[in-house]
Amino acid sequence: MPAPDVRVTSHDRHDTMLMAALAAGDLAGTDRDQAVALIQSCPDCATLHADLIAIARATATLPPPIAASGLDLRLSPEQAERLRRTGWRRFVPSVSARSAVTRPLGIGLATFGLIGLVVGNLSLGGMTASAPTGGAGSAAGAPVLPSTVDIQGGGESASDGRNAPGPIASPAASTVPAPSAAAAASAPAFSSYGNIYPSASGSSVAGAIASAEPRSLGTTEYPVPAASGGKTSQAEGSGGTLSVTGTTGGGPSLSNVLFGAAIVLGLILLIASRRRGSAPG
Amino acid sequence: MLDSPRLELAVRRGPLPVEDLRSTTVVDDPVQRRDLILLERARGGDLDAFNDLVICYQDQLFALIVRMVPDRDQASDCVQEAFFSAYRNLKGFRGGSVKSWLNRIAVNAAMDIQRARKRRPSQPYPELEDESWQPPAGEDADPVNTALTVERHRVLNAALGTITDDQRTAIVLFDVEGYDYQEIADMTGVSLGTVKSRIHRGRLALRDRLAERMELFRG
Repeated sequence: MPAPDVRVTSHDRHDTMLMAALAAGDLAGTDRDQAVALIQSCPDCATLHADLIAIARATATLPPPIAASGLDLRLSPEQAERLRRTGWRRFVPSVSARSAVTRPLGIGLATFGLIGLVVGNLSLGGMTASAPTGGAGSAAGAPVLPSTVDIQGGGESASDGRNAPGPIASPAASTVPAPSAAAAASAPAFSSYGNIYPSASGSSVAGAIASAEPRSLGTTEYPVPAASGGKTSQAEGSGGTLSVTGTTGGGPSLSNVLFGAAIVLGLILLIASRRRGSAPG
Repeated sequence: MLDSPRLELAVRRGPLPVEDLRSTTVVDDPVQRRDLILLERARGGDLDAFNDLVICYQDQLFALIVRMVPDRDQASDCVQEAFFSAYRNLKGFRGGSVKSWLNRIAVNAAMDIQRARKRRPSQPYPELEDESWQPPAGEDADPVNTALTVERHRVLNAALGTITDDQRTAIVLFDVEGYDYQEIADMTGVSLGTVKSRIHRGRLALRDRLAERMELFRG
């Protein structure tokens, strides 16, 4: 059979892995033909091939290392007692040994929990975001207001009804728009929200839902630049500060707990299946 | 050689110079039967039976692991840890060869050590630690050949210590211990293709390291 045309200009460009695979006998078909042709056309490849075979032979004939003198690795009764599994750990091998099930199950649970947490919280955030918009009155029935805004203008306050704070809102306010600046300006302590929401300073408010006691996330003040009365929605005037106070809706919801538990369980299963590598069944 | 249609291959042929670790998978094998009896007794809580297994296999496991970890102390610790792990997981044994089971545990323990170490060994191989060691030679052995063999093993061991842990493990298991690709893949938890790649790259790396001393191997 005529050798395939191997156009090479330099040995450096030749595939040394091909030579190694040929030396190990792992090639067949056209790959093997190509490697053989390479050997026949390139002396360096031929030398490499011969060297690899020589090295493999030498490695295979390496003498066994000297046995460790006085090696005694027998377990003492104390060690055996310590190693013996007790309690819930007795069940770990039976779980981890089934890694064909354990690993995918662990990955699935962890992924499910993670996605559930993310999607659940995103959708929750979207629901609460729509509640307070439209002024003080429309948000009166909302159970939770994640953020409140207090604008303290140094000069003329925003009283034209345009929404505030807009682009300069905190990250929390970006997902949960604050009440209008008009409401904020006219009701410094958010009196129109009644006693459901905390004040701008983040203090707790009587009448909050007992199971979802709002918690203050602190207050962040943003400088409000002096505006020229244009189209921006920030407080107008000669400058001042915009206070954004974040709150949470209380403790974790049941779904979050379940998703978190799924993540933890999934990770435990993954670790258990991973440990199987150290102790194959 | 190049014109020959049958190229020489670096594949292990014929009987191994040391005992083939794959030979105990036969159920009728008395060694395997003995191992299974000891293991069953150990699972029943008989520590002496387990210690009998330890005595049977500690030297073999040490000989395997000492090529994979930097020094003999670590090899000893590694084998000890492997027996601990085996004792902890006696109920996880799911049949087959006890020897292979122990080997897998020991190899995994060695790989854990390699992963934890994450650095090159400075004094990697036992022969380098014991200068008095000489390979067994027949009475009519040529002193020159003996010296060449000693030197070849020395430089090869030194080169083995400089390649990556994964490559060294694959080469030791394949070339020295005689496992096949699939067994190594099962043992190390990687794909068969990865095992092949590690062996090929490992040999290429050895050749690079031995470039100055290749005359020792070409003769």
